[in-house]
Amino acid sequence: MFFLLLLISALVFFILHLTPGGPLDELRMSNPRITQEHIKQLEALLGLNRPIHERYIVWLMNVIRGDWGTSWQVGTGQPVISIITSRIGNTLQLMAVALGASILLALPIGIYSSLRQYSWIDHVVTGLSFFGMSMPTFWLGVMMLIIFAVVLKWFPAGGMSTVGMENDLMDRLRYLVLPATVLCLFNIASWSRYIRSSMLDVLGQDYLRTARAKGLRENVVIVKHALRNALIPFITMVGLTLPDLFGGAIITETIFAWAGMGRLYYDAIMASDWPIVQAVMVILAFLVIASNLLADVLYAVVDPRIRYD
Amino acid sequence: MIRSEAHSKYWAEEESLELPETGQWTMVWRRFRHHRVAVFGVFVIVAFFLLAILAPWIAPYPPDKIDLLHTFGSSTSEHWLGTDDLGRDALTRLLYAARISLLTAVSATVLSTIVGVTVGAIAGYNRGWIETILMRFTDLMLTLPTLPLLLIFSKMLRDLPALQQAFGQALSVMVIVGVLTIFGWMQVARLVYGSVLSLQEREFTVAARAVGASGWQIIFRHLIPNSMAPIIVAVTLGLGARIVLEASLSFLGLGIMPPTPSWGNMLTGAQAYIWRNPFLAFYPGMCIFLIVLAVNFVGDALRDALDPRLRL
Amino acid sequence: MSNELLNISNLQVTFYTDEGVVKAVNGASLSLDRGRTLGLVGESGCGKSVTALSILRLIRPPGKIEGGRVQLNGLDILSLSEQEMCSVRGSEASMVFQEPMTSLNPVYPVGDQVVEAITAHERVSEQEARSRAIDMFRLVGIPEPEARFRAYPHEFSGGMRQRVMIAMALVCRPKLLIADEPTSALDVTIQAQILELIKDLRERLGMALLLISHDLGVIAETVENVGVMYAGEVVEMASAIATFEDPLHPYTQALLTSIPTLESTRDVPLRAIEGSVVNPLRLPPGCYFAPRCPHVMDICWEKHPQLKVFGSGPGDDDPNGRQVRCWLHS
Repeated sequence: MFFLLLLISALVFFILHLTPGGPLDELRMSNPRITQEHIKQLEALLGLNRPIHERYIVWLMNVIRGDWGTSWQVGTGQPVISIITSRIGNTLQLMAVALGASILLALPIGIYSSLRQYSWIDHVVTGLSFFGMSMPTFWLGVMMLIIFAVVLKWFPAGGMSTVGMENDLMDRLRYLVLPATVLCLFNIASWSRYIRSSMLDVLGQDYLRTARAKGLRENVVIVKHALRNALIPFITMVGLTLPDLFGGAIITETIFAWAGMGRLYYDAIMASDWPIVQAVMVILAFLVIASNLLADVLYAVVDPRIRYD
Repeated sequence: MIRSEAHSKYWAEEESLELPETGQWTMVWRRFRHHRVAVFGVFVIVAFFLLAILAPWIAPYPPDKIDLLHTFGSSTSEHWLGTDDLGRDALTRLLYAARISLLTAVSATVLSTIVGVTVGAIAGYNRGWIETILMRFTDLMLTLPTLPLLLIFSKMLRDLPALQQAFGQALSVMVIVGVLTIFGWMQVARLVYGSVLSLQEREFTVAARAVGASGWQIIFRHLIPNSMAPIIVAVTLGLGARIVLEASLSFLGLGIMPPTPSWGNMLTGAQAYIWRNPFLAFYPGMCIFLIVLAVNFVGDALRDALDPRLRL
Repeated sequence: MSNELLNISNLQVTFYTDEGVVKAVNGASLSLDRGRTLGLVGESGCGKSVTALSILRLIRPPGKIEGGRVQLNGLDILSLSEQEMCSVRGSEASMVFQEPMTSLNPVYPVGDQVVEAITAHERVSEQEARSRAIDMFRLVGIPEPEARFRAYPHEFSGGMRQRVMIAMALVCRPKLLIADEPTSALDVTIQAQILELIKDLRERLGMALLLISHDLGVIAETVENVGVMYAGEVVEMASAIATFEDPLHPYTQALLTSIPTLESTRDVPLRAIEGSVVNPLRLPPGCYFAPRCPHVMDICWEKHPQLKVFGSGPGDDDPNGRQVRCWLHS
């Protein structure tokens, strides 16, 4: 799986460095007094005049050693690592809250729907799920801003904290509500349907009949026997959606001016700041691998039929 | 033995119970009809496509007519949906945006499907190392996070001078279609692969091979047509996903570039002007939402109607 | 205390399906004394499983018990609350099902599932429940019971899983064991073992046994009395001996003659029953077996035959007596 990491990082590196652009172009165009000489010097300084495979090896060695380069544009001159570490916590906050909310809401909705199949509640929930899955994230974000920040003025219209209250938990929560809601809505809609269908599959199984025949009460049958089986595919699916959560964070952080990795990634791409883009890509690749591993491990934990002896 | 009346009546009814021969597609249609919301959804989709196709004729203004004296106007009888930050008529831009957004989504879907069907069919038919390589590659692509890579590739392709020269104005459309195709063929490939694998051992495949049909003939005339059911569902749902992806990319400035209107880029930087005219941000997103909702309902109903028990 | 353990009287069970309303059980009645055995025989769909499930009220929507009476050990089953019903299931009467491969929850060890049956009904410590379960494992013939206690269902073969199911059913010493096609999904050799086990345990624990099967051979070996069902009704009830030596109902006769014997040679065609199983949505107006009966008369098409009870004959101590639902014998 580390092969994957290498592959992705190499791929991205080569692609990025083969495209024109980069800070020197900007410099070239903005200041007519910069001569070719100066450019050549800068290139040598940034190591841009070496052949590409050399540059890749150099970069890779640096990354392993912990030197992730310096930002070109977004935080000009600052080491990439410090930029990332200052932002990563914010994204983790956002993703954790959204993930938690998604699970906590999708589970009961999905379970209830499956138990009351074809009831009016089930139809309403199904309809709302479709709504949630069809809504583009960015539109939802903008609409939430309009309704809750502009019109109702209940929540702030972006940013992470009020000036001077950076460490206040309640304040941070106020700023967190809108972006977290936007980030988790799609998942709640889609996961509740998934759980519903998973539960429906399980509810038709013979071992539930056995459980009832033993004299167990219905709620024990549902929770201890049915749910435990229905959660198996769900848990592994949650593990695998972590990278997609990051994708959603890119859009959400941009709309709500949340200074996290998603926003950083986007800004870096727009500014052609390749060191940062590469670094985020490495982290992302790591996330993909880790979430796949996590999904596999969780699957083995919850399903005794899949155990590696 | 003399039959009693009840006796005869029973047998007569029994014989008349034979169902008339109905075509398979008729049955699918009948099952689809049960989902009334989906049927309504079909009308919605058709309506959007019609509006998009007829835009040049029904739009009240040219899409790029700037009127700096009337920016951020609200709904009036002259501008039904108001005007945007450059005074352009919002309704007109909405209609033209429909053209572009639907065009790119449909093109990307068609191309992805072609690629996906080809890859899946080849992998499923030719077992062995071809199969392994193709499907491993497909699985690899599936684990990659979509949006981050779409962003990088969009930016990269857009900045290449070679492509800029080749496509000129149409570059952004080409890039989007290309990028959506590169990252969108895997679902269909997996479905077709699975379907071809299971169809391999069916009698008609063996019979076709016995008669001497070549590999390609078997693939195109037998295996693919019999895999249509899951393909149709995946294509329908994929269309909705692509509309949203194109809009998201355009919103972030890496999709369709202004001044060409797209439902996505009409919302770019909306956070800045929501204080001035919040409705501007409402309509484009609403269009996306409505058509994707319709597509999702239709896709779901198709999935029910084409249930494997039906065996197309 | 009377000898009668189970009495089903005019049971009506209806299923409300998308295709129509199906009367799965249409007035079935039977009686079973303590410690005795009764077999229910019939084709698929005749209502025998539904009747059995009704005893423990395990009928789920779209099915509904709509009429009749079920008396179990003095309890009026159909009027009990759900909570009271839970204490009946597994302790007064237990059930073993047909598909051992899917009847155990795959994510819990088998030992835990048996212990669960104990703790649902009795307040005992974990250790005591555990040791009782292990003893039960030993009793049903599971080798190395302590080790197997912690194993998962997928680590057992079909026959072993059925033994676990039996252990689970008997661990609370029920007075009635209902076995619904307990061996149909098993290999023939394992079938014999499981049947032996059931017979043996029944004697040891003194339970009554209601055995459901479509296999006449299994029935012949195991039970004292037989009830034959067709289209949701009991059409014949007699001792096992009488059923096999002197069947009265044409359906029972046809069933018996359709079994190929060791003496059948290749040139003798297999004797099937003409026609196909009755469509529950389209029942004939008179006797349900009329379309297929080789002795059908006009009256069979017009009027539905009632169950006629012959008195108990000499040596016949079956409380059901000899019963037949046929115009030939009225």
